[in-house]
Amino acid sequence: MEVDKGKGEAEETRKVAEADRDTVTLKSSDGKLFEVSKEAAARLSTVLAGMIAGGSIDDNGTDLKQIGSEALENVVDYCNKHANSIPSAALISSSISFNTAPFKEPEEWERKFVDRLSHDALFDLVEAANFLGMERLLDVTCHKISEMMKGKSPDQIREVFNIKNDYTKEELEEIRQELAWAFYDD
Amino acid sequence: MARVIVVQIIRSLRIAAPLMMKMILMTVMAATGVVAVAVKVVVVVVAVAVKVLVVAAVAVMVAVALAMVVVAGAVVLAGVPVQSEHTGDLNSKFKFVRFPPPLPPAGGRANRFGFVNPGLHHPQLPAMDDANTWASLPVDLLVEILRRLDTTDTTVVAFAGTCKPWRRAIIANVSSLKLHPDRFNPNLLLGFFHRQWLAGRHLPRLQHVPGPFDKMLSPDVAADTMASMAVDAKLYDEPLSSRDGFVLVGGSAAGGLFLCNPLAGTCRFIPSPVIGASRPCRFVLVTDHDEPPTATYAGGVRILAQIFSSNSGEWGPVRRSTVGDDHRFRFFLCDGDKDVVVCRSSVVYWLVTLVAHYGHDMRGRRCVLAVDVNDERAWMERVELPETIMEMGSGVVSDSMLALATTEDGRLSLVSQLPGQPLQVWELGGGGEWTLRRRIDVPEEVMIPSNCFLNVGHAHVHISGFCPRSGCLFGDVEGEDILIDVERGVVRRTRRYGVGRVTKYPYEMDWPTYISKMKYF
Repeated sequence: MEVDKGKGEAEETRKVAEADRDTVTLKSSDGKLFEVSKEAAARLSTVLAGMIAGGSIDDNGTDLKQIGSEALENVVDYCNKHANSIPSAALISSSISFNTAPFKEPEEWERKFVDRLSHDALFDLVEAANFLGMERLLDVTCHKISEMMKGKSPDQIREVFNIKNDYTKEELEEIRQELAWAFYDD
Repeated sequence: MARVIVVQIIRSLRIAAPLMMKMILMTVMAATGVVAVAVKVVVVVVAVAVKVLVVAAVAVMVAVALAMVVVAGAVVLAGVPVQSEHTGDLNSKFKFVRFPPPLPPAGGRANRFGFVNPGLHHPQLPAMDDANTWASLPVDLLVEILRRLDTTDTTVVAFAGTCKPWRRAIIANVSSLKLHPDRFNPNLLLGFFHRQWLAGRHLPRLQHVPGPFDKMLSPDVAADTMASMAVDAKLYDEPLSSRDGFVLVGGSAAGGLFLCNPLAGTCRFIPSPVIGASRPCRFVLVTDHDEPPTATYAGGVRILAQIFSSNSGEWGPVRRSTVGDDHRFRFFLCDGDKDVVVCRSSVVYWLVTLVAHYGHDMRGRRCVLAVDVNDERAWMERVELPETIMEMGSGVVSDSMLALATTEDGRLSLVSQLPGQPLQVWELGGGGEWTLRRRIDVPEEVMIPSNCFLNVGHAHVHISGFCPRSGCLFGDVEGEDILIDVERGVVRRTRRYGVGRVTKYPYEMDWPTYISKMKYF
C-alpha cells in the first residue's frame, strides 16, 4: 500500500522534475523514487554534488543501490528541511577540513529530526549519510549517537545499541579494572 | 599473531607522530625594571594536520635587572586522511581515515554495502547483521562517528569496553579522535623528572610515584630516548619542563634542547631560543586540546614573545605587544614551578609580585599574568588575588604561601597556605572574582614524617608545583614527598625520599597514550 503510494508520488514528481530541472530523482535499493532539490542535494552531499557536476544524474531516477527506501526518505526529508537554512560556504569548508571548522550544535529541527528515528533508522541514516558524503547530516546523527552514549557504562551502551558482548570472562575482568583506573573511583 | 602485528602498527604510528607534530616554543622576556614585561610570540602552522595537542614550554629567568621567560609549545597531530582499501566509484570520493587492519584480510565479511571490510572480520562472531548492526559498522564509518563524538577521555574508555570491533577502532585511531580531558586522574602521574648526580655525572632521572604504572619506565628513560637519536645524551642532563608525556631536556654544555616523549619513544631536537641562549632559562610546556583561542584581553604590561614550531624547526621572530603600560609597578616573576600553570590548554598563568615603583607602599602585591599561546598577539592579563589573601599577615605574604593550580574544567585556582591553618583552594570565576572552594586539612600523620621520632611541632608543608592532569599539588613535609589531591581534598604521602628539594617536573601520561596502550583484545 505504502509502496504503491510512494511510487505514485514519485512518478508525479518525476514528471515535474523533467519539466523544470531544479530537482534530482533518486532511486532507493528497493526501487522507490524520491525527489530532492538539486541545489540542496549539491549543497549537502559531496557525492551528489559530484554526480550533478559530472552529469551522471539519471532523470529517471539515479540508482542508489546501497540505500534502502526508509533511509533515503529520511535523507530527502533532511535535504528538503535543510534547504535555505545554512549557507553553502560554511558547509563546504566544514566538509573539507573537519577539524578547523568546529561542529555547530544541531539546530532545534535537526534535533527533532533525529530524535524521532528508531535505532535501526538512525543506523541506516548514518550509513547513508556517510555513503553520500553528507557531512552535516553525519555531524547531526553522530551528535545524537554521542548523546545516547554519554555517561553510560559499557553494559548500558551495549544494551542501548543492541551490541553483543564478545569479550571473554577474563577480558571483561581486565576491562573492569581498566574502567576503575580511568574513572579513578576509590 | 594478530597482537604482534598490531603492536608493530602502533609503533609505526608513534614514530610517525612527531613528524606530524607542531611545536611552538615561545619566549617571554620580562624586564623587571621600569619597563614592564615583554613577550615575543610566533606560531608556525603545520602542513598536514589535525591538531590534538599543543605543547608549549615557558622559561623564566630572573636576573638582577632582567627576568626572562621562554614559552614553548607543540601540537601533536593526529590522523591524516588516507584512502582506504575500499573500491567503488562512489566510495572513492569519501574521506577515509587510516585504520590498520588488525587481522589478515582473508575472508573479510561483506558489510551492508557489499564491500568487504578486512578490518572487521573476526572468526568467532558469525554474521548477525540484524542483531548486531552497530558493532558491525564499517571501521571507517565507526571512526567517522567516533571522531565526531564529543567525547571525553573516560567515555572513550567506556566505549572501548563495549565490544572488540569498537575497541580495536578506538585503539588504532586514538590519535584522530578529539578527546577532551574531563577530570583529574591521579593515576596519570607516573613520577617526577629531576636532575640527579649519579656515577660521576648528571642525569635527567625519573623518580617513580607508586601507582598502576609504577615500573613501566626506567628511571633513565629520558636519556635512553635521546640516545636513540644518536646524540651525545650526556650533555642533555637537565629536565626543564614536562607535560602530557613530553619532557623538555637541556644542558648547560649542550647546544639546544630535546623534546622527548619517553612514553612514545620519540625525541626531537629544538635549537636554543634566541633570548635564552646567553642565560639559563626555565621552561614550561603547554598542551592544547584544540580549544578555540580565548578572547583577547588588554592588561597593564608589555610583552615580548617568541614561539618555536617544530614543524618549521625554527624560532619565529620576536614579537612585541604593548598592552598598555603601567609605570606605577614593577613586575617580579616568581621563580618556582608552583607559580606557573596552564589553563584551558593554552593560557599560561604566572604568579608575579607587583612592587609599587613610586610612593612609599613597598609591600609586595601578588597578581597573575596570563598569556594565551594560541593568540599570536600574545595578550597578557592581570588577575588580582583575593583580597582576604592579600590582607593576610598585614600584606606580607611570602611566595611559599601561594601556589597556582587549575580546576577540573580548566579554570585557574589558587592555593594558599598559612601556618597552622588548613590549605585554602580559591577558584577564579568568569567575572574575575575569587571564590573559596574548599579547605584541605593536612592530616596529622602526614605532618609527622615517618622518619621522625619526635613530633616536630612546626612541620611545614612545602608545595613545589602542580600536576595538571592528575590534579595534585606536589611537595614535601620535612623532606618526605606528599601529594595533595586538590579536587578531592586528600593529602597522601608517596613514601619516597631521596632527591631532596631539587626542582622536579611531574611526568604524567596523556590520555591518547594511555588509550593506545590499552590491551588489544
